Amino acid sequence: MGRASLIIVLGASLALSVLNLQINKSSERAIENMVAYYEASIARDLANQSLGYLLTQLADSATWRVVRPALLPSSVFADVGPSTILYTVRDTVVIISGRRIDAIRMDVEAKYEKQTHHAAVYIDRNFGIVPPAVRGAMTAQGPLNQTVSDMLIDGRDHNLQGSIIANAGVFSVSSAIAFTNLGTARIGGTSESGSDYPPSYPENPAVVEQEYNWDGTFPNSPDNVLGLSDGTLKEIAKRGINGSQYVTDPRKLKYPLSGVTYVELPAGVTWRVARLGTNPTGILVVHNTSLSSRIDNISTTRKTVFTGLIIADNMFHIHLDVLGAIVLLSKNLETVRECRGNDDHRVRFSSEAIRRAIRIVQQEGSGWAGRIPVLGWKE
Amino acid sequence: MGTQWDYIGSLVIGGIVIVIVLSISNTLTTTYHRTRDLISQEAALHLVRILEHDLYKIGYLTPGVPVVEADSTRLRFTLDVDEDGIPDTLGYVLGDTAGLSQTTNPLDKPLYRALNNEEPVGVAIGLVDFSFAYFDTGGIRMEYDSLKAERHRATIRSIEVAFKVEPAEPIDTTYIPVVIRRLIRPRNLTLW
Repeated sequence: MGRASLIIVLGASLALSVLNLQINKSSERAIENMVAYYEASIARDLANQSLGYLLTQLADSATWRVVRPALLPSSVFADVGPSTILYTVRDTVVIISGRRIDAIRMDVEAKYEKQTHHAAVYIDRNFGIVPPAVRGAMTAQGPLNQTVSDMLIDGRDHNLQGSIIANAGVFSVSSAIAFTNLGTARIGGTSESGSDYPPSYPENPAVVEQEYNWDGTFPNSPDNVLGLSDGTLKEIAKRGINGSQYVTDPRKLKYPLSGVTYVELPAGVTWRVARLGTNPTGILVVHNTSLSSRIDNISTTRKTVFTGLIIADNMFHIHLDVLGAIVLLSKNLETVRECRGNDDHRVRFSSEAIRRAIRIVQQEGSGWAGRIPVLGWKE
Repeated sequence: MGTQWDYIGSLVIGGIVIVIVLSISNTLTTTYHRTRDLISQEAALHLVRILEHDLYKIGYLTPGVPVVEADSTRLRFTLDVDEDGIPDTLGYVLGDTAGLSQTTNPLDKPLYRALNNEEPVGVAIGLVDFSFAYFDTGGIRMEYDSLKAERHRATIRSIEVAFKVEPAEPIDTTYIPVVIRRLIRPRNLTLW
């Protein structure tokens, strides 16, 4: 009797213990589920916040890439706790509704405790803007008849390698007054309806814009061309960002030119025999507030190409190749002298070159929103 | 004297056995409750994770207005699931109670998820209440009727998902619910 009772008691106790264990397990699992969900939420937040941090870095430095997985410094998210964040920034191509777009892909893998979250962002590689004031490969308020001379002016859009991007360009010449191709220049571009016309002489009138009515809104300063408040470009040049320079005497320029090269000449002064060095890039400004500065005879070393945007009050004797665009601010361009001998040079419009040149201005913002175009965000 | 001790011993042991049996009964009930709770909780978390996974990708790598259909119990939107350049369409539709007539709970309904033209798949169990709500840039809740117009769907910036999950079987006569409400703000709706 005593032994049987003991067995019953022990058996019942064992059953009770097993059941209690089961209850504890259920409770533990419920807690584990909630903890796992909480950790996964933190991992997702970390991944997305990291992308925001990396996008800002890209906005500050457009050529920045990280091909192999790198660890984000823990100092960036020191207060979060036990987490690791790996990332890459690579060039790629993304297809959106059948359209191939050169893109940058950012991948982030955030690990928090036991949970990992992967997030990715695609960015259009050609970020930046083409200012609306750039209406042609050469845009001017004054007469371009003599300035264009016998060059090749092509307003069709070119990439940085010089290949044509179909039906995406601008006029060859855009002038606020009448234009006559006196110097037998070969002229091509994209018409207002979006059709490309290769350079020819005589030119197709569809690629020339003359007597365009700016209605008093033609930019009166380099900053206006880019839609900036006056003084912005000069300030960037003075701060030396990305090799930018500000000089009042062109002989003090250092080469190669990059960033914003701002040459402010005294009223009525001409920069004669302007040498831009080898492969100059960025935004070249030659200007004073009375719009009376002038470049006469401009060239590069070994006929290398200027890539970017030239904004000057007045230019004549253009003996260099430009991939980008030229904007001339003065109404008083050359109308008497002839410029022969530059039929071996060309001005080709390139939206990519202009965007690249203008990124330096956009770097002046903070954060990434509005500075770089995100095509898609995979959270 | 010995007999007296036998009686006392029997009473003690009998008492212990009765207490243990009552405890076992009580513990069995608790275990049953906890297991049901756990199933509901897991079902709710499972569903919220699926919804978050999908809804955060609304409009991913697709042009135009990504929300194709928006109602309290229906949502269809575009995204590029496999990044192949071809937009996909993903939809959620709440079924009615007849869709889950085999369960004891008379109120539970199926929630179907369908990618493109694939067969809809049920993604929830024990779902008794479910709704989508839509909010514009200013965080103002949008009227469902207005969302029939594409121009209004174009202004959706965040989506609230609210649902209640109950166990398939009642505990005694009641169903203990798990209620979840999540506001999802897909970044692809706010990039441009």
